[in-house]
Amino acid sequence: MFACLYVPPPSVMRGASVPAGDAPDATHGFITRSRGAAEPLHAGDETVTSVLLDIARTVSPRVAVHSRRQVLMDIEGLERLVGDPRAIGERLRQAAADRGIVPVHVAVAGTCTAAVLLAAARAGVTVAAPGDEAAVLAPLPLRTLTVLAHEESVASRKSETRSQKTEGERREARGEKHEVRLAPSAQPALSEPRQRRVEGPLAPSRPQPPTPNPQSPIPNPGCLAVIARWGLRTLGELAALPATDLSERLGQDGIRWQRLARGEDTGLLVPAPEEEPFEASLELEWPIAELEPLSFVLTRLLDPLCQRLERRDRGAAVLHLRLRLVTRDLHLRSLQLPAPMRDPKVLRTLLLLDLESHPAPAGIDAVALSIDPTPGRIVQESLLARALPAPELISTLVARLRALMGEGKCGSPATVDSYRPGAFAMKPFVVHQNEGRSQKPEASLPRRSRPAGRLAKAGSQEPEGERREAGGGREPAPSAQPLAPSPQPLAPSACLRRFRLPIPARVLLDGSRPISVRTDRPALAGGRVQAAAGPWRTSGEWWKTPAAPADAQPSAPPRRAGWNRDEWDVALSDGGLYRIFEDRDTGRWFVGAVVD
Amino acid sequence: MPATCRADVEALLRAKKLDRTLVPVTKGSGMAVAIETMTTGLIELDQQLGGGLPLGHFSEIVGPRSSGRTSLLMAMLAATTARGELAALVDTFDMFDVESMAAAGVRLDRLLWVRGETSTAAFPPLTAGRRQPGADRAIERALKATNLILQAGGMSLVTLDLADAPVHALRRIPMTTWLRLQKVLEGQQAAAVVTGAVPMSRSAGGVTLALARVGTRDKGQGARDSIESEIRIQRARLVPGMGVPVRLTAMALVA
Repeated sequence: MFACLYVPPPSVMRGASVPAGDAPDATHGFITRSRGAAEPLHAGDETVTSVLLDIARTVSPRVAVHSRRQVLMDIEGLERLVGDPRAIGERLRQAAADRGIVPVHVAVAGTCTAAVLLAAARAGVTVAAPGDEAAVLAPLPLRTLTVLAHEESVASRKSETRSQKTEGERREARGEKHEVRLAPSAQPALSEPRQRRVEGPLAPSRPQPPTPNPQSPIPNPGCLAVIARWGLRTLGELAALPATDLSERLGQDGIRWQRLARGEDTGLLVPAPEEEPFEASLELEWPIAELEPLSFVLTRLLDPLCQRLERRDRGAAVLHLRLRLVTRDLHLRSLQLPAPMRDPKVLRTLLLLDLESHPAPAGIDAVALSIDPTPGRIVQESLLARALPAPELISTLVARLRALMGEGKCGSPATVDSYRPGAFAMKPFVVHQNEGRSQKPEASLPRRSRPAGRLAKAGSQEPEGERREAGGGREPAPSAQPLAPSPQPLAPSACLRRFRLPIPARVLLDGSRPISVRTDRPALAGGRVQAAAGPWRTSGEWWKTPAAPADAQPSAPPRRAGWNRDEWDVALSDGGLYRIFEDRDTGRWFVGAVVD
Repeated sequence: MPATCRADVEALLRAKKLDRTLVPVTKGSGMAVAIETMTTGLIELDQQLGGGLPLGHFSEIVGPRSSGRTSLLMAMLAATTARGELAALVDTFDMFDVESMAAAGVRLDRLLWVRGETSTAAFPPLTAGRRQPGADRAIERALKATNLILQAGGMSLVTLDLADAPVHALRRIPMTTWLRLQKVLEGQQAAAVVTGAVPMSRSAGGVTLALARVGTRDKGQGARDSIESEIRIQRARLVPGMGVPVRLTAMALVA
């Protein structure tokens, strides 16, 4: 036996006859306080689902979410514990009323399909004896089946929403915007099931029509429109059609709709696992001021948490550490992990390394730890390629390096969309296990296909048609040339070693050409210029104004955010090749880089 | 008889866990090659080295400023990351240019870049005196970072850049430091490369590549197009190309 709990949406409620004492709220409709005050508990469907799940779990441990407003449960064997099916239904209705959900539809039947259809169509408590499902369902209107047509899209939406939520949280942590919008909830049309509209980086820009899945237990909803055009109005009329004729006209989808109209199940009930919080806390008898004793406390908290994660096949996505200090202040730390992890030693090490960089300002009185779980990592290793290190190992290594070198000092380099000399960005060093190893890097393309010389700017925003060389000539845009992978390794490229803080220099000029470069650095004495090339004039970001420091004087000259310089490449008598430049705003010379 | 004596000596060395000091056996002797190598990204240099850099050993790239040390290092990193493997670069004085890396073909997402102190530590003004505590501190941190990376494993190529470190600061590094790093690296399927002005850290099985700039090629119109260097295998064990110079032409000076 199965029972179904259903909360009708407000649009349905307004058209239905509702008892006077259960008048819905004008905005949210269906939820009122048990004491009669018309106060909505919530507005989101996710909250409705969670409340319905809580109610269902008071009766049965095997509970499944059918849709956001409908939950299904297995009540087999509960007769001796609760009573007959009607008593179970009344108990569910009473539990919903106690939680402030009024009215609620409850149906008890021998099959899941019958329970879902009856709950969607009839208010109050409806009981269909086993074997009588077809007869009870027969007078129901044909559009009741759209509840089932809606089931698959809801299930797929739940899984997609979960993955997008996880990705969205990561993007929020990176400071990126992520927007997911759902279409307003409405009763699905007969011929066109409700479609989700998602706008964001993870979804297509326009809604895609659902495609029939032959393996799905829910048949093609388009058949229902055809059946409606035939003049059938009730489930009983559909159930009475000859199966052979129906199959000839609509194929197997027609047969499957007919089975559903008779209340027959096409799949099994898959119970939803109960979500449990992964949290642990410990009150300390004596305050802790050092990391070493704290590591034992963390081990004691992390070990059972990680065991529970393993049992649930989950991994930690984010670690939240809350330390209550003796000063009654809270010291909060959150670690965003690059991959799901559940090794207590690794998690403890990461927490300790983070606390090493961000120590608590006072003794620790209580420790609380919570984990945001995410599905466990699945890795397919290859026999043909060298195995990459595990994310746990990389995370620990990067955390140790960060503690040693400082924040922002280790990671992966990245080019930025700027012409500023020496501009770059740092990204977290993350190993993607499933990334294609045979992927050719950008630089493995033939050299002629990449920007050459001084125009080798990453992410440059120049027009596609042509690029201007430093000497004034033109060459075709790289995109206009064929890109073919080169089997030969690249010729080595002369590299620059940049001084992040350019070294001031004294430059003697012959006209505008440098003839001698000297600095006050013993390791970079400079010398006579043997060869020089240039100048190359470059400037940018002059339109930006930097944020003034807090202690800036009102009379102080404004700081510059941009650059404006003439660059020269010079070979000096000390044997070095240097890139020097003159700041055109101040007229001062600097050594910016060494060619090596 | 000599073969028996050699086998006895090797067995004794292995018993003492000193088999890393054994001379690798070449193909010509009829025995299996005992040394594994990793390509440097330069075909000619690989041929001279008998396959490339030896795995499990420290190698060196030495030479004066503007001799092409960084270009050769980038070629090695590009070859490693192009295979999908991971590489680490310990930048002692935070001097590497990301655009140059990208232009050299390094897959940046496969590179762990550890930036040390700013170049001011390596190039202090005259007022700072001869003693350079900033350089010593930066070198010490870089060595610790290298040790951490080697201990963690998983990297195919670990590079330590000491190209701009003062020579007297390099000579203050205890030899035991290099021995300890070498011990960590032993047995790993990884190579380690140190760049510097003078030889300092080559292990028993590693190679020392000495670079010298032989000229610059001028493209004309005042644009310097490339630098030309010569690579000599200065020290190595049983490398066929010992002493034969290899020409390195680093192209396209990028901005």
